[in-house]
Amino acid sequence: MKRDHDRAFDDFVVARGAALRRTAYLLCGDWHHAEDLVQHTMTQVYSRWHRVRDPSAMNAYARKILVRAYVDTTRKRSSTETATGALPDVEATAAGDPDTRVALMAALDRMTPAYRAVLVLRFWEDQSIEQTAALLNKNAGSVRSATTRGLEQLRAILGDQLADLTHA
Amino acid sequence: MITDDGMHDLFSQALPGDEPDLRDFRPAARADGARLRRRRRIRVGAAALAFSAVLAGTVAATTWPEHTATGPTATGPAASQAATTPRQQLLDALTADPVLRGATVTDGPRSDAVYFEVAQADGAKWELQVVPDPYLSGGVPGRSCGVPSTNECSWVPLPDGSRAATGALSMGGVPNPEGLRHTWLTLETPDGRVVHVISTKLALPNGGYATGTPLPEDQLLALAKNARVLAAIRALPSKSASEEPPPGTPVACKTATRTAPIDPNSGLVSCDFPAK
Repeated sequence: MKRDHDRAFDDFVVARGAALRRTAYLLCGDWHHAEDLVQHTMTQVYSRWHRVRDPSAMNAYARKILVRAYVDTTRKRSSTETATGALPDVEATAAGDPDTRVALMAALDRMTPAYRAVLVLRFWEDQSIEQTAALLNKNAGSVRSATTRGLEQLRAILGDQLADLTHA
Repeated sequence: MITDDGMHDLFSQALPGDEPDLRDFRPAARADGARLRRRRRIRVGAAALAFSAVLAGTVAATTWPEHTATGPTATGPAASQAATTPRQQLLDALTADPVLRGATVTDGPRSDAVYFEVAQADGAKWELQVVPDPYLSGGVPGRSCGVPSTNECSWVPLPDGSRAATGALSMGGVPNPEGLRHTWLTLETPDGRVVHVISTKLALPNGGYATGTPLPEDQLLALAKNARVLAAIRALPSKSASEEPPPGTPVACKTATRTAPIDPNSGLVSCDFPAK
């Protein structure tokens, strides 16, 4: 039985590891931190794996663990340190950095973590408002409001670049 | 207007094309996950143990009447409880009972029996004797209700599951202020033990009895309904209680032989005790 569980867990890690790391990267903007988040997620998933009746439900559980871990770490680290894979060059970005990726990541870094998490879940993970609300333990109205405000925040940071980027 | 697809593309552009190699998350996840699971189990086990201990304590406190909050045994230090004899506990409980408020209750001089002398403020004196019955209640329906043995018991339930019956007796068949009078209460515990509580006018050294009347039946019953008094009575040691008296033993005499019929006026019987 344990061997079956371990095999199913291995399959899950292989299938979902990369996707979760990309989501984590979009959330935190740093590959090392993203791997730490995924490692934490996988640890939690393994500790609960023996209780799972439907392994497909683990996708949603892993997503929930990942996003909540991200929100928790941003709260804890807000007064200590900020891990980043690139030097923050906010002024240059706001002025119109030609590198799209760097501009986008810089803009995401400037967003409120909670809004960023909502946008990543809604538009990158293609989660509905209700699913996002369940993942973040909020109600649908809060998610709808956070989506609107997050987009406004992103638009305020990127300015006209946002329209160009979304139509690129 | 930004569409959902547009935002998805936006996030796709934020990801670099050359992602670093994926770390193998499995070994660390298994090791740390197993540790988390063990810790969770330990926490659940500890919580279950703590809950069981609290539950057991609550059940014990509600089941044993001597541990109820009405008595000093619940509030006093454990060491002093252990040091106090059941007889002293009963004396304390009687002294504190509202029925005997204003009266002075003192331990009787006899050590072979549990009895207390009560002196009321109006000068009346009587004694209260507690006699554990050597026989269990089963099989002798008339025994617990005094004499004559044909008396029907009128049982009153008590808070701890015991039951009590009361009665009164006067010498000569009529209440005589100068003669012997006593009231009694028979207590039958759920485990079948029988204890008699008898309130009798105090006999004077030069003959006769002290003035006053013994405790009325309803007040005797009120005493027994006090959880503290009841617990103290039940805590009194009793000689090994047997199931029932030996076959052929008259009920009112128990270990003796009845030599005369029951006096219809006094209800008393004469018994011949075998020579030792």
